[in-house]
Amino acid sequence: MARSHRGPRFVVFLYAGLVTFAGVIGLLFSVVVTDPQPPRLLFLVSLPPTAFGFVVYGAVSVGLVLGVPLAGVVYVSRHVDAVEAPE
Amino acid sequence: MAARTFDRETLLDLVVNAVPLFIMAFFVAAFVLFAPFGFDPLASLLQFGLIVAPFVALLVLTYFSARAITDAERGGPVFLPGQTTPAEARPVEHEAEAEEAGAAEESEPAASGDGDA
Amino acid sequence: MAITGQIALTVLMGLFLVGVAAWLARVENWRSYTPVGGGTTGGETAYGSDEKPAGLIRWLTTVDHKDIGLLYGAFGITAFVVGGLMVMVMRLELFDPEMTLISNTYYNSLLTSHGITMLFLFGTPIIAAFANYFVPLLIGADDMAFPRINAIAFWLLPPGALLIWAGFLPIPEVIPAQTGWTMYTPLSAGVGSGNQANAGVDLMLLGLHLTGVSATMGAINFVTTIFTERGENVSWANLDIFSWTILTQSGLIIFAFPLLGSAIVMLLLDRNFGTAFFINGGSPILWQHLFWFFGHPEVYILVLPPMGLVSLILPRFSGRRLFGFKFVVYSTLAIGVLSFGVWAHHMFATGIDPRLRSSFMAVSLAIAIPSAVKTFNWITTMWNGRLRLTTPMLFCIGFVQNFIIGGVTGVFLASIPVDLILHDTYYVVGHFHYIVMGAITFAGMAGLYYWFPVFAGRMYQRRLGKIHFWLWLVGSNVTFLAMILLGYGGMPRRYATYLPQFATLHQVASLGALVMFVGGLIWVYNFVVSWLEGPRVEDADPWNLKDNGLRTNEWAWFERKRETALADGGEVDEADTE
Ligand code: HEM
Ligand SMILES: [Cu+2]
Repeated sequence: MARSHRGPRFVVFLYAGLVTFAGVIGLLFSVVVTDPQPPRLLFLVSLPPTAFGFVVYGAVSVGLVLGVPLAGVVYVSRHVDAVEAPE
Repeated sequence: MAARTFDRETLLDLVVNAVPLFIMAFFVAAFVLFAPFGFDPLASLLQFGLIVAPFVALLVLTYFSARAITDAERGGPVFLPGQTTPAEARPVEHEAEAEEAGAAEESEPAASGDGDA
Repeated sequence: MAITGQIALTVLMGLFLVGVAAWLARVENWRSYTPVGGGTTGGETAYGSDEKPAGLIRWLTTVDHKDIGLLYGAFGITAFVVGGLMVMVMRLELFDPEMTLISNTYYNSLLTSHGITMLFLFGTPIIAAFANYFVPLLIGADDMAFPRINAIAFWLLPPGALLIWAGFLPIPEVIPAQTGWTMYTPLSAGVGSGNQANAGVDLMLLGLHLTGVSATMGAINFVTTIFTERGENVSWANLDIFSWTILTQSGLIIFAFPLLGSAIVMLLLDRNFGTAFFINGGSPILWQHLFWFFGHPEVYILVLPPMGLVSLILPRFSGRRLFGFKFVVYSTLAIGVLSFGVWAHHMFATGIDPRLRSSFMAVSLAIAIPSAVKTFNWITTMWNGRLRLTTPMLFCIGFVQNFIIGGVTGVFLASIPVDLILHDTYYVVGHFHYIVMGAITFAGMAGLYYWFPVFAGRMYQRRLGKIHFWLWLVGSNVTFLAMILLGYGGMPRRYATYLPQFATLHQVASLGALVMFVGGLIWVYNFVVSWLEGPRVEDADPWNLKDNGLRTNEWAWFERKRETALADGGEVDEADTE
């Protein structure tokens, strides 16, 4: 049977993957779209309409959108769910 | 009314559906207060109807399903979901009761699983 | 000449009827398939295998929920292969900007047929396959509440499929529909200078109607079964999550599919009898409302049971219970209700009154919450778990990953200003493929691999399973990411040709599709070979679920079935032991 993996390591890996993915979309977005408007991070911070700006925009936005719930996961796992954690 | 029919734990479970209800209520309030596109008898009726109808439907369905689940919990043994027939399956103690009882691991198949006040 | 032909036909018909009569007379005990009333729990089904006729006749006459489940599965997988081959031809055509391999009209035919095949002939049936086989086992019922209706519901599908594909068959003067799966009027009403007044479109509509009737009958059956046939200890408090999602899905089907049926009848009337619902002075937009009032619930009809599969399987390989089980149940119900209140988010660009538009946006945002809650629960389950990365588990994780991407892209579309820019571009295609292929099909694969030992009695080749997964994960992300980017670049959907500037991304998408195609070949090979000569299952608990106290009813049933087979030394279906 397959080896077992620790959940947190795995989930963080998944999270990192998704954030990287968003960064990659940002990067490619700047290549695909000609003359994009400057992105505004969280509707507040204006970033330059360059590859760098879009990578930051994509990665940080998705990092937050998924990161806040992930923090929730960690919290809930420690306090609500810990009773039945395995071995 | 709900507070008396459902115990605290069930109410906590129902929070999931309270969130979308809240979002819809929020938009109704926002549309009433700001009326961004003006008022027109037919269009506005539809506008609110389109949010209020799902709101009411969700409220009703959530109430009845919570009723059904709570009644089932009080009325008979509760197993882990989908795990009633395996030979090793035992009814679960209700969480709260289990904590009070000091977490008896392998409880005997109790006739009733109700631990609710 | 013509007369001889007619006589020959008549004779053939007569012979056929004689054959049918002879066969009916020969099949003994065909009345004995009477469902035994409920009451017993978790026992063997009422239809012992010795009652079943042998060979083909068994499959044609069966009313056993497991056999019907297998029939649904075989049908769904066949349709998946057909739809997959269609899209491979399309992706090859899209490898260069010009019209090279096939004509534009043929491209449109394939496009239409691919969508309809995947949604109605693969998606709904493959879910029905799992539901038929496993819901009665999971809830401890003897069989479905109406076994014969169950059989009828299945047998409506093959004729439906033939009608839907009729345009591709060599029938003179019948051409395939080119309306897109959404069948928007006025194009689909056959007006104008196009060729969509052709009978092929009528046949397709009739076929679609049949599959709708089939789904509705199935849904009524599931609702009745889950309400009335549950075993002794199975109450609403411990109904498993897959049955919950099937119950909700069936509710959606009962409200959504009859509406599609009515709309299709209206469209057929407009096409053939000069009525004026959508054309002749009627409103083409009415079609969009009717269609999407069905269509959005349909996407949740397709996604809820896969969510149920993931909620069932993922915890078993995380070594712990699903976190927040009731959250998942209530959010399933919430999705069910709210999915009827969002249909016009597919119509933001139609010039709909802005007041109505904003209401649809509000409910669309509200419905994202229950989906997010489920994702939260899956992740939390994994967080405190010890993960065993078996093939079904990998597909579950793939589901979660792709569902997150599909969901995030969907929420963007639900915001009106964003949608007005991205509507009808490849972005939309990317969004829903992340969900329908990346999530729904992945969950279907998780289910197929997870229960393979149950329905085949054998084990698949694990290595090939994993290769399949990785090829699909990489392939789907390459293809659908390219589609998202094409959408950002402004590439409109549903075109066989395109401007040269989109060539690279289209080629990347085609490459990704090829990777998935290879994965698909490996999957089919693995399943066929393992079904025929894979190692027999030695253990009634092949996933070691007992270790963590996570064994569910269908595995307990599997164990009893194997024990019975051992005890009387007999054979039970394909799962006899060495
Ligand atoms: C997270 C929640 C979701 C939201 C907010 C959402 C939103 C949207 C929106 C606004 C559109 C219309 C885009 C356009 O045509 O301009 C759309 C299209 C679509 N979505 Fe989603 N979606 C969600 C989840 C899903 C799910 C779960 C499925 C599948 C089971 C799905 C399948 C589709 C399909 C098939 C289309 C394209 C229909 C067509 O025009 O052919 N979506 N989605
Ligand atoms: Cu929709």
